[in-house]
Amino acid sequence: MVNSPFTLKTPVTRIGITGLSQAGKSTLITALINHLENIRRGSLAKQATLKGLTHGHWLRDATPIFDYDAGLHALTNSPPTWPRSTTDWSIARIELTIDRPWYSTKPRRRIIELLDYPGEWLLDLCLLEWDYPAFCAAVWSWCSQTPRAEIAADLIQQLAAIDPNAPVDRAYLLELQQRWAEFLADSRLPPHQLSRNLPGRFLLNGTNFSPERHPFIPLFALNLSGGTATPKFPANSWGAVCTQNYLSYRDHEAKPFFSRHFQSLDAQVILIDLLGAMTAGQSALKDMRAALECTLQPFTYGTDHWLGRLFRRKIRRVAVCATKMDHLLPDDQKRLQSLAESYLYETVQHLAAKSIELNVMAIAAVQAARVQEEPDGTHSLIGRDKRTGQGVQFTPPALPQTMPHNLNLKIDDLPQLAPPAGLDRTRPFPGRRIDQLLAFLLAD
Amino acid sequence: MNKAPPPPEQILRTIIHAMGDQVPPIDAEQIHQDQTIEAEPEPLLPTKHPHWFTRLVTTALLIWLMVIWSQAIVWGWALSPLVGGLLLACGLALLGGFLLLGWQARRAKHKLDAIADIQAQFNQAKVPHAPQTGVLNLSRRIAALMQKKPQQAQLLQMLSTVDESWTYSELAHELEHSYGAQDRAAAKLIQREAIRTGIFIAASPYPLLDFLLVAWRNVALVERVALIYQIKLSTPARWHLYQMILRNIAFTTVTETVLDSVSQSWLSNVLLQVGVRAGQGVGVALYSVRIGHQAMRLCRVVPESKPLVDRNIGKMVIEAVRSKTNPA
Repeated sequence: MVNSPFTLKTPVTRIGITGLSQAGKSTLITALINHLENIRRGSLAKQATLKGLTHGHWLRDATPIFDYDAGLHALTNSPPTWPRSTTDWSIARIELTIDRPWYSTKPRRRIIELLDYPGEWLLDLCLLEWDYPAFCAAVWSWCSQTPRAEIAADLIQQLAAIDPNAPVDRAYLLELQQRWAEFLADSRLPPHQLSRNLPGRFLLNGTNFSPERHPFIPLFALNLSGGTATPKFPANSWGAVCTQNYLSYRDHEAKPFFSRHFQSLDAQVILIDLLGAMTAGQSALKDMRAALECTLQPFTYGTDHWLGRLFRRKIRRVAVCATKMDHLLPDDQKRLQSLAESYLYETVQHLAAKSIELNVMAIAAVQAARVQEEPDGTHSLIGRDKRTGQGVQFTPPALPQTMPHNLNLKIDDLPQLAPPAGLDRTRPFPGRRIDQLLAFLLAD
Repeated sequence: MNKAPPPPEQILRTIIHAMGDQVPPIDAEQIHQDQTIEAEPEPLLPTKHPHWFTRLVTTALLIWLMVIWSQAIVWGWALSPLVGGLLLACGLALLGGFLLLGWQARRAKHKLDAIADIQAQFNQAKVPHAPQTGVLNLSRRIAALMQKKPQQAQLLQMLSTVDESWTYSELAHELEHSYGAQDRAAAKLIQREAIRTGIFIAASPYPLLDFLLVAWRNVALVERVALIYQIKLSTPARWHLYQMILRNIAFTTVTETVLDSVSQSWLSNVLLQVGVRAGQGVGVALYSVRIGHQAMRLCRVVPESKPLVDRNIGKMVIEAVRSKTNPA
């Protein structure tokens, strides 16, 4: 389609898919591209707000490009698997063709950019406002309590025993940093599934980062001594080296990551694996909420004045999405949404106060379970277990309407499901509410 | 003092019924079949895309008019610069007038499109498990539509109290309540007009008069319903309603023709003839009710939750037409 001579350049809508590690960002992006490629088929074609969109086309010109091929391969393989976790940041660009009247001067094309990146790195956004003592204080407040105090009691004790003013032992520093990274890796795995694992690049380095080049660790002696002012460390001491390397990490890794990718977003999807955190229990729930609140702080929301919008892009739409809703029976799917609202109440209230469009919803990027009705009228779900690859029939627990204030809630034995067989690129993947999410994000 | 033990965790248990080969395999095709696409509400107005031939004819007509106008200006200028200038000014005034009308029609269309969109949003929220967020934005959109209308002050006041804690059903309920007086007035008008049109048709002796009567009364009905709701009907909306009116006229004409041809041979009984004419009037009246009902639906931001026009109105119309046409 040829644009009218009066048409302005093709507008680009940048959508940040924000979520912690294992929230399902890559799967969601793969599903979103698939739905946009099949925009005139399935439930997306019925969305009134998207009726002008006639065609979606994944562009291979983005750098670095999101590996849609790998995502498709994983999902359509036999047996199908979930797309692999992201190891570096990438962009998915989709060009949409819009049917407009011949006299319209509005663009007939629109580019959608979806940002993918390792969820581990998102946590580094917490560091943007912290100097080194603040970092140590925050990490100490987490490590002095269960379950972290139990996971790495020895390491925490050793870190607390280091005198920040003593001359640094570089080999020991590297060893402690290595052990700290191992501790972070242990914390995020079941059964703990903790989210605040800082610094993020210790877990997943990326292409240009080498932790050995600028090693640092949190020094808990700073907090144990009770001082509040920024301390002065002697040259080449533990404190001086860690402070210098921490600031280098913050200013050369965390800040550019934010300014390059997140400062110019138009819309944001905040993905939360609420069911996953609930299977780990109260600590995981508390940690995930705190991590989300912390990471969302640097984003700028709202439309403000038109003059301000000329100079600075701001997020106008935010969708808070609880994933894996297909792991629940239909009656509980509604409860998952209200549970997410109650779980993230303060975040939602904070966002609702900005002049943005906000939507809290439960979604499933690719539906992995199917409802089975028994002869006695009861319902259960069938799917394929992710770990064993075998079929599993189960009745998920009934969820409460709201989250207990102390988050004292745990789901036992909820299977993690693998994608269904028979997915095909030429048809929209069966999902839940992906059409509504796209309609919300792409509405003119 | 002993530290109080932490409260026991609330455990939600999953029941595993079977694993392995006992569980039937699932594939995407089955899930596709299970998924009932959440029904999009029926659009208020049919979506129309102008045919290429219509575009061609319109463009040709416009070019032809421009050429004629230019020729007229050249001719007038040759005759006298005053005549040429006058023709130019007249043409520009006409063009300006048409552009103004077009702009107004476009605004009206956008307004009705926005109403249809808002109604669709309300209908979507009715679907089980649909998200209930975004009510505040919706209420702002409604308030923006209703501004500059003194009659809607109560509605605007209600909308100013809406916040994010509201659900769509609560907002719809409040809007229904705000529309109460207008709904009653419109329903009353539709009933009165439908009965009047039905009686006219039943009593009218001339087919041509029937045709004109139906057109006149139905167009007036649509305009007055829109006036009650303070909405300016757009050209597509008007055209959609006029199509319904045309169908009503067609019904009148066809029944009239059939009645004429049949009455010569079969309906020798006068009472039977009167009965058939009353039936024709009832048919026209009921169709008028439908037109009025559709006009009401077009003008309200909230979809109807209960019938806007009383279901008994059909019976009332039948009774009224029958009693007027058959006083015995």
